[in-house]
Amino acid sequence: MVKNRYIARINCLQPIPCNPCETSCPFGAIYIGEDITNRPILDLEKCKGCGICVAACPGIAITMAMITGDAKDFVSIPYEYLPLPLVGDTVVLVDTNGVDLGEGLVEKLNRPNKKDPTTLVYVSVDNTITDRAVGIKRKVASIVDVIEVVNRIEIVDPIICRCEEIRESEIIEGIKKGDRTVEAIKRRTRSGMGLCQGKTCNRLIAGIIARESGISVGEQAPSSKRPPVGVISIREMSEE
Amino acid sequence: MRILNHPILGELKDMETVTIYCDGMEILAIRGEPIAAALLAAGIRTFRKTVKTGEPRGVYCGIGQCNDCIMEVNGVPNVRTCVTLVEEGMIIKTQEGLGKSGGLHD
Repeated sequence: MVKNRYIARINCLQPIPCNPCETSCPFGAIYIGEDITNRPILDLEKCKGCGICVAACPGIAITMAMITGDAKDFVSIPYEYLPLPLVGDTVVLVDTNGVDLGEGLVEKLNRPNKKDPTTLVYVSVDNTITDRAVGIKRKVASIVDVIEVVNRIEIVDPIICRCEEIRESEIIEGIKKGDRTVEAIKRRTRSGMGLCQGKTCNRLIAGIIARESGISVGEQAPSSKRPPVGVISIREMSEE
Repeated sequence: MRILNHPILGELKDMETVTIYCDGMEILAIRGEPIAAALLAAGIRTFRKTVKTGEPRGVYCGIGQCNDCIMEVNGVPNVRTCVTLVEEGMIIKTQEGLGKSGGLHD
């Protein structure tokens, strides 16, 4: 384990097409490779803890940590809100789910790349939370506790296809009657036939079919796609 | 409800205004912003009523994908207000259901 110097911590959970971490690193310490959807791999020896990748990551999915071996470690976290915390402030650190981990003391603020407005906040924390601390809770009175609000919402039969107003119960009804593809559900309910042409609901419906019938999304027969990308009138089509 | 000082994008300066009308109400919008942004800033959150149940809808995805924020703009129904920029004198109406076509493309 690397001790007593800052090392990047990559908290990038999803294989998405994105690579500014790799291209921004001046030391070639982050590798993504040919397939841009690969998750980044960090070379601990090459990483100098400069923080440039932390500011460059559009998903604020990179932080830094310094393990000291003592009770207090240090973390460095990108903070893209105003007002910025000040040196000496106590801040609340959170994990990837936004859950409170406890307090830390702001030691330093830095912008590693002068052309990038993202500020890094360096915080001393208990060594028990070093591995999980990836965010700083906003200290604004008017901000509601989102997790608390979300937990309070009772979701009753959510709308799946927003354009045609099809609820989950109608999809499940179709599956009970034997539908096993997004196409079959579409023919029964009109889901995916509205203005957005299934951009929002198709994947949700495939997920519901998988959940209810046990046929994974990959095994389901693909649905036909007939885009226009945007809405045009029949008249515009006829004039072409 | 506008972000006038953004931690990454900086301060909103030198704003040029245009006048738009929503259901007859005069609204001062900022040139270059989408219709949806101007309406939200004016406190308007219901952009349309759905076909089946008449429920209110407004901004959902905000990136032109879901078509939830559609309204009648200058007589044309089904215009995505989150990706359509304001123009001087624009006439915007809450869309009821599928909307009525009565403008340029009728």
